[in-house]
Amino acid sequence: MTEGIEESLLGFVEGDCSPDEAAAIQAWIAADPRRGELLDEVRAVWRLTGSSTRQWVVAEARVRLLRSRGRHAAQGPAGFSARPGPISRVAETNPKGTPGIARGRRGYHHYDQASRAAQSMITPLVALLLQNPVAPAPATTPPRAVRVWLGSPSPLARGAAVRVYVEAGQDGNLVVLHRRTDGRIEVLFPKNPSTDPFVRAGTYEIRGGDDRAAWVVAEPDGTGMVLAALSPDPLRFDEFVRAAAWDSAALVPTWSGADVAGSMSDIVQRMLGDGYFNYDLVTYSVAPPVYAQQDLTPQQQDLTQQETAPAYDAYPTCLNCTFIGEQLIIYERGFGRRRFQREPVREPRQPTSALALALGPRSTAGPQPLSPGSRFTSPRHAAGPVPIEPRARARATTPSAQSAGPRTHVPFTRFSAPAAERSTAAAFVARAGGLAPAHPEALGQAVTRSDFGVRERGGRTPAAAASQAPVRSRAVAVARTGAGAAPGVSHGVAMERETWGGSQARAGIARAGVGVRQR
Amino acid sequence: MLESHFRSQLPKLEHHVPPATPHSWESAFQAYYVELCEYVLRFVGSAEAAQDLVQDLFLRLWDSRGPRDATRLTRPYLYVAARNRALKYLRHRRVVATWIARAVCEETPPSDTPEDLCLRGELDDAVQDAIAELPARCRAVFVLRRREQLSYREIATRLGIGLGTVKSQMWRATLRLRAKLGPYLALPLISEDRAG
Repeated sequence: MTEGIEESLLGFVEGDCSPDEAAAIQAWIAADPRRGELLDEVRAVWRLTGSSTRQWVVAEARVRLLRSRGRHAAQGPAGFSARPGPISRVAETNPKGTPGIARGRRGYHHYDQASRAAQSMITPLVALLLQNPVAPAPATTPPRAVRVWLGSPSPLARGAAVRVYVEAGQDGNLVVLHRRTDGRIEVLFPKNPSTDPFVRAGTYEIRGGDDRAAWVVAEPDGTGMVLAALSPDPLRFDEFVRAAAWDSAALVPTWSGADVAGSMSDIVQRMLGDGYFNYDLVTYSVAPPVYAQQDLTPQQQDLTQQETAPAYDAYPTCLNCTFIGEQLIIYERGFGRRRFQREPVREPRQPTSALALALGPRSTAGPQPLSPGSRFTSPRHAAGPVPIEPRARARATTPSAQSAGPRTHVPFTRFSAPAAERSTAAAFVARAGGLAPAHPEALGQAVTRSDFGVRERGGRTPAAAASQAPVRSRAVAVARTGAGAAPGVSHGVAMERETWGGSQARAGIARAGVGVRQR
Repeated sequence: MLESHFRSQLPKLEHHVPPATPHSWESAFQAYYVELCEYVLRFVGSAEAAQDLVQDLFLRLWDSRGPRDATRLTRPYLYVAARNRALKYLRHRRVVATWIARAVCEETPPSDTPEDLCLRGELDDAVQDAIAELPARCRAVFVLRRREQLSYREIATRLGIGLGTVKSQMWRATLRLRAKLGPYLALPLISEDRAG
């Protein structure tokens, strides 16, 4: 018996083998009865020296099973198996073994495991799709049973009122749980245990006490989560009620060390007994306002390390945090005249600036009208999107601009891979009357991320405007795009500087298809 | 005659075993998930596959609606269902027929009787002595693996040794324990059909 086989035999006893490796070892053992005896003896030693061969994480398995069960139920009694294939390989998990719960994952179509066969087919399928591009087929995805989202983008600042919206795809009993960043779990809906949780299909805003927002952020920095669960089965709240109110001491998971989603789904399952539910999750983070502007990507550091490298330590990477990245590009006439500052620099003269926001493509699944007789109000949505046309890129910069060495600083904090619905923000701070990207790569990156045109009044290109630069004025443009959404459906808003930066923040907001207006 | 008399005086141990009480779907999962995973692991040798099979079993039990009435979710029923599922998996994976024939002979591990618990208590001392007599490096690796459930990589990091060293030390510890505990391996408690 070779050394490798010996080690593999231990792995076989402990279950550390993949199915293919296990099959090979089984064949090796079956070839000689003495090997079978050795296996039995090793197993006997294992049984004597421990209670189990390995550490089975029941809590994770339970959460995974409940997710599969919810999906199974959504498919009907004759639904398909919980797995893509008969047996699939467990996907990579983090060292702690907790299942990855990403923002916005839905319980009825999320699995931690991916079929090996499916993995092997991904590459050729992608290649086939790239070779034969076809028109997008009409959406055939089943409607979501339940969907939850927040009215405020993450990260949230302390003191902010957070609105929570829930879209129920079908009639059912709804429960909305909120896990704060400090770990405490509360019930957002029904606010009172005696309230009937049944809701009709529709979109609702979950209101807090006194008909206000769902909650006001008063939590420490961290990541919180909101779970909305919808079930056709009745909910029983007896276990979680004390003195006709929610018992916060009972709103805890039944096992220790549960992950966030698992703890809340466990509570919902205890409310349902053997019933099933569909659910949706949304995560948020509470962070200081400066949190988003403290990091530089290595590429951007190369561009700006001499002049604009931050003097402070970057925040560590945070897995499963919501993406809050921004790009801030500063152009100035000369290097070293003024270092980058996180706060807008107040000029002696009153600056002329504007803030342009491109809010990304609008979701096609808009909110449904308020259900008649409901106790909730429909979420308020902005008017129709204002399309923003991409500008014609002007890569050539004037010699004066290059010689002046405009400074580019791109702080970029990415805390997780941006999802399809996430937005990327880009900010341009321009001096001397326009936006003159000094570095072609920086320009390309910014434009690609922003998908909106930044144009000076009168049709002048930013590069041309930069070459003039007689007037000290500043403009800020922030664009947010949906990277994975359908193109060309972005909408934006341009605001006067006073509307976002100063005491006159209540000033009017002007919508515009072009990002920056220059006075 | 005398033998039959003593036999009649012996307590019927199986009567002390708590009867298999019916469970709800949820409580059956909590009670038997680990047991079933251990059992299925003996067939398939892969924890991933074992977990998948047990999950599929419970999912099927829930979907079929029948066992949710808490009349069939008993330990024997679950073990038989898990065994059948594991054998089906082996055939599907085209595992060699010899292994399948061996797996068919696997019996359901019985519940612990008071006698088993008593014998296990006595065995613990022997096991502790055997572990204590292991070489220091062997003992450290073995204890970290079996008691603290650390992965091989974590053990290597903690002890500052290579991953291959950890595996080889683990194998050596296993062989030494096998030799020292050999007399106990033949006890009914850890006979072939139950030991592991």
